[in-house]
Amino acid sequence: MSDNTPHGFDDKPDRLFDDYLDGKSDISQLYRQSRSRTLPDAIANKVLARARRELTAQPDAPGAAAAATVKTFRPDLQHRQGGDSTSINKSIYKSKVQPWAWALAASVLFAVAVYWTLPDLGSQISDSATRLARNENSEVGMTNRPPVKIADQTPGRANTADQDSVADSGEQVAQQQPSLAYLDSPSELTPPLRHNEPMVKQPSQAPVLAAPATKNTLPGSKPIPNNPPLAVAVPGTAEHSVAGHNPAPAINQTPPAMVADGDTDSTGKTQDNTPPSPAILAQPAQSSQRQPQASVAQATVNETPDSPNSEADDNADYSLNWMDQLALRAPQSDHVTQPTASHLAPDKWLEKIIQLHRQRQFKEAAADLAAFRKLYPHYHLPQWLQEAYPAPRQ
Amino acid sequence: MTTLALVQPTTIRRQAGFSTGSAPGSLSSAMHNDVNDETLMLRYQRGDGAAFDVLFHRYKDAIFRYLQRQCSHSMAEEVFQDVWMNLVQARHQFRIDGSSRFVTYLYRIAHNRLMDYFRQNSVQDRVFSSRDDDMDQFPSATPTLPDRALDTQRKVDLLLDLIDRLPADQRQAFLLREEGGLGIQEIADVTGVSRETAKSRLRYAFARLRDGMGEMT
Repeated sequence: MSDNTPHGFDDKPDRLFDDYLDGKSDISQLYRQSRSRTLPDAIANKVLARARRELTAQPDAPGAAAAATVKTFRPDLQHRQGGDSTSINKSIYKSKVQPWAWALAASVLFAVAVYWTLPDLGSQISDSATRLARNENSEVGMTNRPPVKIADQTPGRANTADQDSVADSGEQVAQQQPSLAYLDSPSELTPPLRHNEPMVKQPSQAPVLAAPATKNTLPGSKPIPNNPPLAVAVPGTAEHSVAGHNPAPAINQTPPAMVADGDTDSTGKTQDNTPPSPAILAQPAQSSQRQPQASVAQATVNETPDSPNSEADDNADYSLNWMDQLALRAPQSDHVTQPTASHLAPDKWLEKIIQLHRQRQFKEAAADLAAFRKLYPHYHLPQWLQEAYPAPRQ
Repeated sequence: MTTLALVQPTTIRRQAGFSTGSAPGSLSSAMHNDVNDETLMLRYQRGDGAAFDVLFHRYKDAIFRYLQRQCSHSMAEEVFQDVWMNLVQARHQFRIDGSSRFVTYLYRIAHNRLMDYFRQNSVQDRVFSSRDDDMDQFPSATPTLPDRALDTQRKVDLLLDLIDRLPADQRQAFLLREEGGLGIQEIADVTGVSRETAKSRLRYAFARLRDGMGEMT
């Protein structure tokens, strides 16, 4: 052998290597004869058993699927089948629902919930907006005289005017919201509209005029500085309060001069003989600087005997209920926690009393309610409020 | 001088697979005997357990010898089970692309598992000492042998001893060639080296064995 290379390789070993690669080497033949060692059968059986067990445990195997079927519908054969039932049952009870199906179902449910919730939200938002506008304009009305809403009230048409104002208020919300918002009587405001309730004005009802501020006072009467809108008694017709919401006033034969002059006496006494009427609730708007007695005196009207008291009661009850609901929905604010709100209109005052009650300020609510009862002894209070704060017996 | 029969590479591969027995005499196993390895592996992927039996009986002894020539007997048994369990668990990763063969896939698993065992146990087995260049320490066959008329068994024992003394890389290349019937490129793929490196390793291994065995041709 010639050692021409560092490893002693020359052409002859290379040829031998090529022969080895072609399987012509003696070493390969000799090595094949050395394959006497074989794998022990124990190890072979062990590997085969593990492989079969591993294969059976997989759900994609045909045998595993058959076993799963048997174990699903023939639980009595489960012991005969053997094997790993846990993994098989996991594959059986694996959810077949795709993730996108869950997302679609959730979206549909959300859309349905929004569809049924939005109308209520819309009504609540409109109520809150109206009430907020009222609060703002009531504060503005202390200095600026708002227009007066004169209701042409004729006998037997009290409710029609009321309804007309209610129906008309929907149109005025968009056009003349400040003047509408000034009207403190809750019955003048549009009650919370029900869902899909059309806002249609009835043509047979008497028109409600929104008089300019310069025509606020009675003809010949003295203009009262910072005077709130007064109830105007139209000659020849039944005098009524601002929006005609007092079809059954409790005070009779009150001189108009007293109203014009803002006389504050004798109102409480004259009211003693009159039955408590919820129509007082619809008293005209009051200036914040005006005494409650004067406001009661201003609400004095000449009422015809055939006034539909029953319908007025219904309207008053409805207004009261609505007011209660509004008070319950009203957001709680800090300025309403003032102990005395006698400068407000009775309905606003009552709202604040209710809010005090809601805020668990029972002492303040009781004190305010006692003062309220003194000033407005015949004001119709909610039943629950009467029960919560019973009037002291005289 | 011993005359050895010349065999074809295909014969070598078939002997590497079938020389140690076949699957048990079940009907399904008999039906799989004439099917190539790749088809059997695909059938096994679809859950045909009989295909795995055929594959296992084709290569179990070759794999075991491949492992046993490089480590101790106990370690070879442990690695052997891991190799086949790896094949079972990773059967869905087997793909037929190009010239890849199942035997290459199987020996790659065996090689990787063996390297993992060496790495985990930090043990270089009895013949895994770094003696790449100590050709002088190889036993000289010629002086110890009385003459060239040795029987085959003694030559086989000598060859096995020479194989044990081969460097690890060269021994791996030689065993992959002889036990698995792999070509140079397949050896390179299994061991993760270039084709030239694999060829060089195999060439050095053959040279050392030939030098150790003496002039047999």
